Amino acid sequence: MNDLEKTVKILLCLLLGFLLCGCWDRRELESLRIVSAIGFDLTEKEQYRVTVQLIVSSPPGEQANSESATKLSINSATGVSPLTAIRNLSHTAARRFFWSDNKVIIIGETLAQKGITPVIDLWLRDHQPRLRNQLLVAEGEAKTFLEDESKTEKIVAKKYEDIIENQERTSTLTKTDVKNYIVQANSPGKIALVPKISFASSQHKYEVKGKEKVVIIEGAAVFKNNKLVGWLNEQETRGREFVQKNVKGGIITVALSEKQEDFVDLEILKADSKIIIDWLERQPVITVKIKTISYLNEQSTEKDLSKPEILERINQLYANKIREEITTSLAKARQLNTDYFGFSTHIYQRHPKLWNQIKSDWERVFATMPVEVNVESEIKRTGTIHGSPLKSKD
Amino acid sequence: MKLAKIRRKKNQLPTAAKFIEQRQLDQKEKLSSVLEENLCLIRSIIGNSMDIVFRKFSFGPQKQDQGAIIWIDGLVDKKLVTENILKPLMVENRRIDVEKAGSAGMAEFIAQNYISGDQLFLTNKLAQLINSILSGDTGIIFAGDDTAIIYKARNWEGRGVDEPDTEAVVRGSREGFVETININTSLLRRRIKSPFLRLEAMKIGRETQTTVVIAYLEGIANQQIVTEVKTRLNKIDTDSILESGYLEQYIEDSPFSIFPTISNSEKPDVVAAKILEGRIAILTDGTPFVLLAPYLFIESFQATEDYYSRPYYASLLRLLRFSAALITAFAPAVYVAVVSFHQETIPSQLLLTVSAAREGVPFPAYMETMIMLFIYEGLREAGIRMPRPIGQAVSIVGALVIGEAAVRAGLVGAPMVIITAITAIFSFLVPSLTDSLSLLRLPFVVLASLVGYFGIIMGVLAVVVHLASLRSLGVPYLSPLAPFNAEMMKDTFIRAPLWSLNKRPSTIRVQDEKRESDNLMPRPDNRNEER
Repeated sequence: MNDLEKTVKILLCLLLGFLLCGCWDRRELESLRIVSAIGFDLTEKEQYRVTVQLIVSSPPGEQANSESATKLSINSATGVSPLTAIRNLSHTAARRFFWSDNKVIIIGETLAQKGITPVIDLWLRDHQPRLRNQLLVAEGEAKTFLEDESKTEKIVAKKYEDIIENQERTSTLTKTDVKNYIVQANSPGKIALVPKISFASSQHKYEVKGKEKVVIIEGAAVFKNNKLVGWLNEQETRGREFVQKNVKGGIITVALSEKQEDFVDLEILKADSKIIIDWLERQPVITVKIKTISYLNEQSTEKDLSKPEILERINQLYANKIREEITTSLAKARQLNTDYFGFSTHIYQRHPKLWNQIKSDWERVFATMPVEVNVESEIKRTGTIHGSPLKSKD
Repeated sequence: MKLAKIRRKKNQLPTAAKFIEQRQLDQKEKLSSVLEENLCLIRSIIGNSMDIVFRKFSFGPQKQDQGAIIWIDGLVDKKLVTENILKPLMVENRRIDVEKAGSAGMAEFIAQNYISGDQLFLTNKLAQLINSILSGDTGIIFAGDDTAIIYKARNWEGRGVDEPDTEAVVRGSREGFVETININTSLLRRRIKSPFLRLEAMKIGRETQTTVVIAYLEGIANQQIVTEVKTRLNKIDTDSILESGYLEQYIEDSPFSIFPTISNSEKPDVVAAKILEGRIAILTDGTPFVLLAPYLFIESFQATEDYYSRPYYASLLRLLRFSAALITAFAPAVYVAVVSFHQETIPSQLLLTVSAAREGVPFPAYMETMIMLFIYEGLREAGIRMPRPIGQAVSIVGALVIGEAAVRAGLVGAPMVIITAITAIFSFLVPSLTDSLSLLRLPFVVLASLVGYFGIIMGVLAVVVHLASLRSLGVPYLSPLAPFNAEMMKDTFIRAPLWSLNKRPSTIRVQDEKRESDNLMPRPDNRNEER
């Protein structure tokens, strides 16, 4: 074999490599429109309405920096299915949509009640969208939340994403991306929690001036078989998050007496949970053990909190408060008949045979099975000062 | 044409005519003992060149003895010739006792007794005499003797030993080789005083008769490789060797590769270090660039200063050079691939910035890249060729027009300018690979513009396969990476302390691997501490 022949053969082998590539397509960046958020709604005519938030960037020469050069465009279209609606959207924009940089998916309340299976399916089936997109359920229409004009963050989707990222500051919202949703929805209980996005109303704890709309992400929507079945408030959400080991921080306020002004704030440093399953006459008995460490971060009394007996009492109250949050949440779960704590998953994973026996009867079992909550808590430190800023009287 | 040939022949001696016809001197042709005949022969071979000087003289008590001295004007130290040859023969020793010359011959007699000066030898070969004269020696012939004295008094105008422009250093010797080979060998000899340093000369180039010197350390360099180099050099049958680059192209292992398998340097300390590692240096007369072989790929990433400075920063610089090579080869291609195919691999914030910058750029990314690379190569070449005072104008035009105005006008995106700048800067971190990487960059951009990352990977595969197939004088080019050599890893991606580099690079098949003793790590002396 001479050299030329050899070279040609090697080149041919290399060329064969080009057959290996799957789907590829050249699309220049400037021919794409970046989608930063998408909203799904159900119209009155039972049609799917898709709203996308597009980022329109203008060349840097026109504005000083790229941040201010970014504008948002909200496009909306309807169709008989989510994908048709998305395709119909292409008549509203000159460029192709670029989905990989999408950050949040907001689902309207009516659609959520009807079922979000097509949306989730689309997100899994198509190659562009990412499973790390945060899911949100809107109180009302999803579209209105995409139209929100943020003063601080230019890109609203980014703001929503960051709010969810900050979950650990309060732990009163749950964090669910598409992947996580699928894992939850496919668990034995088929229950998933998705954070709730809503506008603050005046009776709420947020101040609203005039016509201004303040978007808050707090609490959770409960999905059962991909359908919205109920809402959880902040405390109920945190109760569930304690059991699910998702609590990384947050404030628990403990009242020291009946008086409104006597309170102590404890910041959660660490919270761990353990679910113990016992069986009594083929019925599960569940013990939730919460182990938490906190530190005292604020107080309104004049007592010297460094005294062990006072600290011990606060600790007791603190543990009670957590237990209360969990039991309230449990009551809500029983009321909705949805096991969003994931007890069924635990039973299935640890006692699959026994689970098979109670599987068909799970809803009744869940409603009646005893659940005990044990909270073991510890206050690690009391901050940079010991007692009260005012001199203690006793 | 034919007429001219005949006429020329008429004026020439038959031997000279034969030589000119063959364009080669017969090595066996001997000198005649008749002075006039010799002179005539030489004159007709060399022709009427204005720079050749014939000086006839008489000496002896009665001025009965005739001699002639021949040299090339400008190559000879005239003062030395006058002082050492003409003066003793013609002035000081009027009474040369020619009778005593006897059977030994006049040339030998004169050489032994009357000519002072160190370098001279005798020859009776015409070819040797003429070649020596043309190389700058002085030839002396005598009437009645067929032997000539060749007196070495070369002296011509040359550049002094200077700091080389191509290999600037912060720390280390500032001497660079020059165009004169004797000075170059002396620079080497001054660094390696070993009696085993071999400097073997040969002449290559029918017309140029260029002196080429092979330098190596006997007992360390692989003898087989030395023989191989000599064989390859001897095979070269060409009219001229004007620069060591000529030699490189005649003796390299893979003439079709874009990667160099023979390196070069114009710094004596670099060449000395390579020779001490067991490599072979090839010095060429007329150029400061010395060839070095066998050459490994990783040597491109080693710099002299790595060894002169302490190992820590040197190691960091090594790693920097490796990444610089990757960046300069791939940055434009990756940019094209990312912008045209794989936008999802850009972090969100960066994507916004890049997309804003691309907004309104009239060309697709690959065109933009090609244009910028083209302009950059142009600027680079202009910067080298321009007369130095105008060079500044080029850089100002380049920086302002290309960098600033093109972006302002929206012809090129700002990221592209940054990519080009990074590519340009990093390409100079690995000087010996600059050419190869510049060549590679373009096919990579083409591949990236066709199939994205996939194309780049295919390109990389092809290049790696090619690199692994290269040999430098029989030594695998990619060693010590492939085939792997653990010992040499100490001096590959990092530079281990000198006291731990006990062995010479073994993949170049050195005869004696041991470089230094094993326990050289400096330690405080215990006894001293107690005191």
